[in-house]
Amino acid sequence: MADVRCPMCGKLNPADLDVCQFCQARLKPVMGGSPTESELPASSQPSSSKVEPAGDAALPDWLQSLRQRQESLPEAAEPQEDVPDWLSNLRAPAEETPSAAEDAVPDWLSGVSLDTPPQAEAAPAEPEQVFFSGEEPDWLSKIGPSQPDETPETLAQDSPEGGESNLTEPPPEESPIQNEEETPEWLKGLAEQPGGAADQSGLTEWEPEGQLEAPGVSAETQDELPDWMAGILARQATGPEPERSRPEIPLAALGAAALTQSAGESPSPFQESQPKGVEPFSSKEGLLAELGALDTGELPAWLAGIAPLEAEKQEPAPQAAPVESGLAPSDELPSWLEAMRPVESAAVLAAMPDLSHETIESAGPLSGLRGVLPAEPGVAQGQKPHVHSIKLQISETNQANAVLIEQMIKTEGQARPLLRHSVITTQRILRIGIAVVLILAVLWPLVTGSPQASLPGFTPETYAANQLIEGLRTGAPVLLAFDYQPGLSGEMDAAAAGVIDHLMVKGAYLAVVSTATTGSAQAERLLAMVNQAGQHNYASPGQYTDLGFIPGGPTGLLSFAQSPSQAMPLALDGKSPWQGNPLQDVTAVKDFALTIVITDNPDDARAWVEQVGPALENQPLTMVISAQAEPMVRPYVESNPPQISGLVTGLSGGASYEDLNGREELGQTYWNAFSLGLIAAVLLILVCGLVTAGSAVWARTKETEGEKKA
Amino acid sequence: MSLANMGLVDLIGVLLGFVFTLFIFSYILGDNPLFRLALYIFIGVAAGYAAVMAWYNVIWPQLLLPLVTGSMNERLLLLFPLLLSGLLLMRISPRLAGWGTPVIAYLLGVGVATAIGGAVLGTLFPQVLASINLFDLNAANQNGNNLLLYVMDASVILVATITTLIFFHFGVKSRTDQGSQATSANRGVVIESLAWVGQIFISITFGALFAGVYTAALTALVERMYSGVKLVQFLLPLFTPK
Repeated sequence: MADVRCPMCGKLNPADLDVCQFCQARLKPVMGGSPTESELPASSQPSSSKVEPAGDAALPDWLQSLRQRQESLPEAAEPQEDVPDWLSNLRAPAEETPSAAEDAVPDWLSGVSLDTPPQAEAAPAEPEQVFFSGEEPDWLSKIGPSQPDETPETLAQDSPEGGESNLTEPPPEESPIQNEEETPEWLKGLAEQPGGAADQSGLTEWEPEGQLEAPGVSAETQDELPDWMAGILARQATGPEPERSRPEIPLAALGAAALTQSAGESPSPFQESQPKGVEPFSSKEGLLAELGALDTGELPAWLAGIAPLEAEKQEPAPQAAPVESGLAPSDELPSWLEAMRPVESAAVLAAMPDLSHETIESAGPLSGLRGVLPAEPGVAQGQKPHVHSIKLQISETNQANAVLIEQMIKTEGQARPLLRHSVITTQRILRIGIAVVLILAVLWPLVTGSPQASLPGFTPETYAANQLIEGLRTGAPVLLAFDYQPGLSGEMDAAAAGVIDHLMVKGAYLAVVSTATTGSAQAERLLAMVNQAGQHNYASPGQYTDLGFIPGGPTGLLSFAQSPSQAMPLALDGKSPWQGNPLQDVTAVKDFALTIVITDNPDDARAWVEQVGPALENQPLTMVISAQAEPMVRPYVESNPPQISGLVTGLSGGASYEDLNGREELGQTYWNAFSLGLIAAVLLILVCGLVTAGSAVWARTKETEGEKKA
Repeated sequence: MSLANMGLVDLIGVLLGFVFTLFIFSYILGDNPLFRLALYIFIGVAAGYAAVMAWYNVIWPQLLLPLVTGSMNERLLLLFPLLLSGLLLMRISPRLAGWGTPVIAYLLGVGVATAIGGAVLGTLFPQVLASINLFDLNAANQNGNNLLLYVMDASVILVATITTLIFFHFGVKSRTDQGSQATSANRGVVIESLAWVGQIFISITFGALFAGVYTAALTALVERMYSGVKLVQFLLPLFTPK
């Protein structure tokens, strides 16, 4: 039975084994149903000369061609024969030590190495092996080298005459570097990269080695190829594709790159297919980083110095992509091979976005990575809100006012203790003294009846009032309004007593009203007092009637002026005064023969003038007012035409009115006391004024003297 | 009215009046409970008397009695004030106070309209006309007045009226002083001078008002003293051994 070569490690195994006895890789692919040998077609039966695993038809073209080529070549020495010398030199025996490799360093390279420190030159070989093993992909390590003795480091440490001579002066007829026409495109790409030669040393036999050697396929082998494969080979033999350009690489750099690759780098066979952005050593930064790690002592300094130059020459990585696609299209791999293909290689095949414009994460576990998602995309990148000042834009004056108001409010809220004044103070003594003087001045005439003060003379308005009453006929309706408060009844009674006495003398019918609630009581009291003092026989309802209180203020007055009977339908005794004489003819306020208002309030006097005056038409309006209301009422008297026909003002007006009538009433009774009290008040005002002025002058004089002394 | 002719009720009234007068006079010594007692009693009596007067003089004879005994037209007319009165009473309750707002608005509207109409027609126009007629020399001749004194009197009144009105003119122009940020709001020199003249007339008016208040109070004091003297003269023989 013929042996079967392991597709993974390339070693021969007995044909009855299912897995490789060396690498434990499956020799027979697992197919559906696992057909036995009898069930397999004849063409698929393993023969003694070649090994054709089941499912051969499913293999990709490049693998089929590889197997076909393996059939036509001798098993042991054939690869070395087909491989060019320069490449075979790279495949040095693995048993050689790194020291041997150092011995094989060419002169030009050794000259460079003289400049390096001794420590770097004596770098042990072990770190290089470790570094290489670390760089080897996992999937490749699982598969294992087809020939362990053909590791890159062994290639780099090849024969004494190899290395430099093979790299710098390859045979003219076999060198893929010089013979560009015969060199396939994929090999050009490999040759352009410093590690291209070394990469091939790491290829296993199942890899597209046959395709690498396609231009050198013999004619008999091409006859065995199928038509489609022959076409591919023919296209490859015609030369490189026009769009692919071979960069000019110095041989020294190429040799150094080969050495560098052989020293520590072992790119995977799929490295060329990796995109530029993710290729570990295709960029300058990655290579520098790697060299930086090597420069720590793992590589000699001369090699570290050369490495950056090679990295710059390694830019056209994308040119190798078509080669990779031609080598192993992933969609045509058999399932068993697809299963063993490294995930990383498939992942890197995907198009990677250009992250050059992305920002580099500066903090956190993702620090140093580019283009990562921000931790808080919406919040962290949000616009910073505007900062608004909470300080009010006010002027210094407003601020001072605000402070002042705040202090005032605080003062209002604080409880202040009441100041306890002494019982006897200057002000209290002065107040008591003034009261005593006034009381004595008033009491003296009342008790003794002397001195007798002359009665005041009547004024024109008082005389006019007297004449108006004097002109009344007996029983003429007279509207008499009592609009004063009880507190001023002393003055108002004295001022109105003579007028009422005169009305009673004339026999007028009095209709008493009031806009104050206490007016009716005041009227009843005054009428009774004057009736008794004047010895009249006035009684309600024969001689007078009390209509009562007029509610509503000015509005009630206006209503009463327009229709007295509707505004005051009933008298205070509950009877209607408008049914019999003499008020039965009164339908409006102008029907009264005379209207007399007795008030102490200028506002009440003005209300009567404003609301009732216009309704009186030509009927006279007479007033008996308090002395305190005279300044406000007099303009209505002195206007032209006058709005108030007659006016009796205060005690003086009442006394003069009584004097006009020749009758003595309250006015004349009070007049002596009033006169003496008035004199006392004037004297008090003068004395107190002089004292105040003197004290002020004295205080100012003292202040002036104090300032002079100071 | 002599005390001898008074009845017992009137005499008690005179005695109470004399006592409360002394209570009020005690304020000369300062605020004291007697003064406050008299004050509270007067306020209470006045309020009670006002309520009685409102009932017996307004509510019963003018509202309730016509609703009972009046004609149908009178009753219908009285429904409106009765309704408004009821709504006005709801202001006693804070929850129902809103129902009385329309009544308050009605009363205020009517009152203000009446006051404004009366002020314009009863005071403003007649007083303006009176100020104009101050210089009616024909009327002065007809009245037999001295024309020189009449014109001088009219001139003083005119000047007093104008200057007093100018005193209450508060319209000023804001001016910023140079060199400082302080803003002065003083009136002009002419306006300020006329206002100063008006201030003199206002002071004289206040003096006249004070004199009137003083004379009214002095008259009230005389009346109280006279009442006390009469009471003492009436009571003194009763306590004097014959």
